[in-house]
Amino acid sequence: MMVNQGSILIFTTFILAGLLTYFLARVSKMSGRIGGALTGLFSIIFVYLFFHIYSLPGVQNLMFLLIGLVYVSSLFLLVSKETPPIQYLLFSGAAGSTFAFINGLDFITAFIFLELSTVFVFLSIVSGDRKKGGFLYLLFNGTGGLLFLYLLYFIYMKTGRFDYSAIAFLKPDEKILALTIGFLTFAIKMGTMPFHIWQPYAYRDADNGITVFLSGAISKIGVFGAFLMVFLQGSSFRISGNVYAYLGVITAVLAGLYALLQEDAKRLLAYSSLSQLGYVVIGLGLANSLSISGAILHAVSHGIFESLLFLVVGAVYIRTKTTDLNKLGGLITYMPISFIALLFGIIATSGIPPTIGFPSKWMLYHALVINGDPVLLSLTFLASILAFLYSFRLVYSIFLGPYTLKEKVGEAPFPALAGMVFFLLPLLILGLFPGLVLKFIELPVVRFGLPDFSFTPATLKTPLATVNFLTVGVVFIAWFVVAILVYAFAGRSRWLPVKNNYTAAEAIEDERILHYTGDFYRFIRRDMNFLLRHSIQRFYRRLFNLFGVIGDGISRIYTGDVRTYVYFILLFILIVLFKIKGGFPCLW
Amino acid sequence: MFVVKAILTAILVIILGLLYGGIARKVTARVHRRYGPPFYQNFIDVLKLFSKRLPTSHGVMFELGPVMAFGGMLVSLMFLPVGRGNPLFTFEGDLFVLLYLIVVAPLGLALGAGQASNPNATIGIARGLTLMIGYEFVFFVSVLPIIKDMHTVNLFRIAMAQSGSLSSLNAVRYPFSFAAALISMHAMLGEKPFDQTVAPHEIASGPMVEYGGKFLGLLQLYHAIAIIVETGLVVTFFLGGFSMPVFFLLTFVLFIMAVIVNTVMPRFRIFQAVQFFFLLPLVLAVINIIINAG
Repeated sequence: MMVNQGSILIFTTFILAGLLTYFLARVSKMSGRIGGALTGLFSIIFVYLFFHIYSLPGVQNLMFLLIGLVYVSSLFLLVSKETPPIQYLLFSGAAGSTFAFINGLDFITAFIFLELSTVFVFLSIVSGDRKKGGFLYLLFNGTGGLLFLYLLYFIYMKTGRFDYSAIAFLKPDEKILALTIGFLTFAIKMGTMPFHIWQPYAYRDADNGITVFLSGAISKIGVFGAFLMVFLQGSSFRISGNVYAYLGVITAVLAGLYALLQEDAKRLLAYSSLSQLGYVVIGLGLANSLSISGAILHAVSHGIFESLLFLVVGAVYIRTKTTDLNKLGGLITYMPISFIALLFGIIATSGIPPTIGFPSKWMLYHALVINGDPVLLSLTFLASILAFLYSFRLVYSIFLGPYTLKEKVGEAPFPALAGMVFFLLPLLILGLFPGLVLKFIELPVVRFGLPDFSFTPATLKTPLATVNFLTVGVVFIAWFVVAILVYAFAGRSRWLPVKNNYTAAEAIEDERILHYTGDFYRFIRRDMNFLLRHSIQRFYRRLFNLFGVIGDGISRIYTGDVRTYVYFILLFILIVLFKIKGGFPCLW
Repeated sequence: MFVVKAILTAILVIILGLLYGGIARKVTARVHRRYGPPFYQNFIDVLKLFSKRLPTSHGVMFELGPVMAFGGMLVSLMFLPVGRGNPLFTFEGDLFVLLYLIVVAPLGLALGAGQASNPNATIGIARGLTLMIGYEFVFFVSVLPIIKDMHTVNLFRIAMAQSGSLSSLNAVRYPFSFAAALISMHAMLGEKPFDQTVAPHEIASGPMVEYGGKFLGLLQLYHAIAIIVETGLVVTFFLGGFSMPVFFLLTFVLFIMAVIVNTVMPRFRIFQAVQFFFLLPLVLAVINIIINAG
């Protein structure tokens, strides 16, 4: 019956820190920035001390570390720009409730902090310039919250308890019903396909620092909750599991396809985030020890690379005031460190070896091969080809090509650069030693224990093959050194301005910028139209129209005109008479 | 020992790749009823390109792009079992490692050409990446029945399981998949009708348009290795289990087959090519999956 005391403590700390920062930021901008950074760091240290004392079990532990990392980095982005004071408070609240949610071990704590995080993020988005994303966010996540409330009520009525272990007292069919509802809640939070509409709008409209946290940490509420539902359901899950795996793969492919066609960096990243979370849903849906370990590892790597990408785009926005891919270009000259960060981010997104994106996808593929469904497996592979395409579009349109802006810009502010380094280190280290993450989840996934799968820090072994990620990384680096040596010994080169290139003897004026960037994958847009035309958004719009029609019908009943009501009363009397007489009255 | 073997393999593959390229030029010329350059012309070209002074450059990424392409292809080569007696890193050479390492090289080329900011280059890249949706996907589907039946994704084990009689070759056991894989290999090599990325008459050799001197030399070396890695992937999956000379002979045969098709073919429009992959080769690959399951 009691709300988890630890969660309340964490939440209160964060709210106090947020309030303090808010008042400091009201005093002066500089004190707000310093205060924001310091209070943020103190509250994160507090969380770690707290959780060190209570030493939570594996997955919670891992999520704490990940969300803490994302929290610090997004705070760094917040303090490196002009952030309205109120955003500090709301951000602190959202972060506190996320931590508190992960910390809780009963449904009532989970529910309270799930709703609180929704409210804080909603307020934060609508206090910005564009509000559409905020309302969509509230609509979808509020619905998710209601579903969760129903779950809570259902379990309390059946067992009289609120803690997670109460699930064990349910009958098998009740258990499946309850946990399906729970899974839906968290599927909305992750933006799995039919419930994804809110995500691109919310990510676009939120403050850049908040977006980093939304993608990296708030979506992890969804991952953690969905994991919890799978974990509590145990072996009876496998029936519904395949449906979830298919939902996941549809999300991964379609979101990847939509990401190709976006013209705004933040929307592109929002779809890419959706697509990557699709892999997590696939892994959870297959529900064996290998796939679930892969899913959690992928959630961690998603938290790292996706937040890194949002962070770089946020830093670019600070300098250029735009995230429109058609307006940007050639920033590599002025922002080289951001370019390197983004480059490693996209390498991890497409899952190329010496980064963290690879081991998690590798594990998911092995789980899929063992599972043996060819449709699921090949579509997952298709999704990762799409990831390669949209990530190249991102790095090309922002950093490569000719420089398109009028005035020169500087490198990203120092705190933002520090945030990038925070992400780059785990991105590379965990890519070589994925076992360090898997250690956290060794115990909880044992109970799914189907394929025989083992690991050391650098090696993963499944029935299909063994891979030493450290060897892969070392071979990779060694041959790159060789290639660089070949390059270096071949002599110097002569730098020419960008305009000085092959144009088939056509004279180009200085004002005209030759740049192929708008509508980058126009072939796909043109020829895949038959697929892209049917969007789920249209379905929702039709649903909306349907409600309009129903409402119209109802308004014909409640017209506000006395005569109508008189008719209704007469009709009512007739029906009552009819009922009393028991049929048509006989007049003769 | 380990390192020496790796370096020797790399040098051998580069030499063979350049040789294959030279012979391909000769074959193309003979089909066109020309005399053609000598078969060692590619060696001369590479030497010439590396000895050029002060090649033009457009920036740091422009210079690192070819380096990344060359290095990435060398790394992929290390995880491919080259023949029977010579498993380099194949104790860990796993299909997924190789499939993901192979894309490092195109990524490097794309990044380098991206900084050149020549629209021809970028259009070439956009086409190349779009085409990837077609051939990578089809290749993956075509090897699915093999990894399902053998219950491994270790490339060396897959190759070795085919040694013995002729009927144990995967090309015989999975003929439709083999056909699909050959078509997707054709697109990986970028031969007509799938040469939209380079398309010399249309977009002036696409990503390579701004490159010259040592950068083009590096790209030539990258291309030489890519020929062997891409044909070698098909050989490993469908014609594996032979000794090293036979392995190279088979890659040569597959490559020359692709070149002969190339000489007489026109070019698809880009999305026609992708659609083609989702019609004929994909259906072929799926047929074999269904036969295999039933």
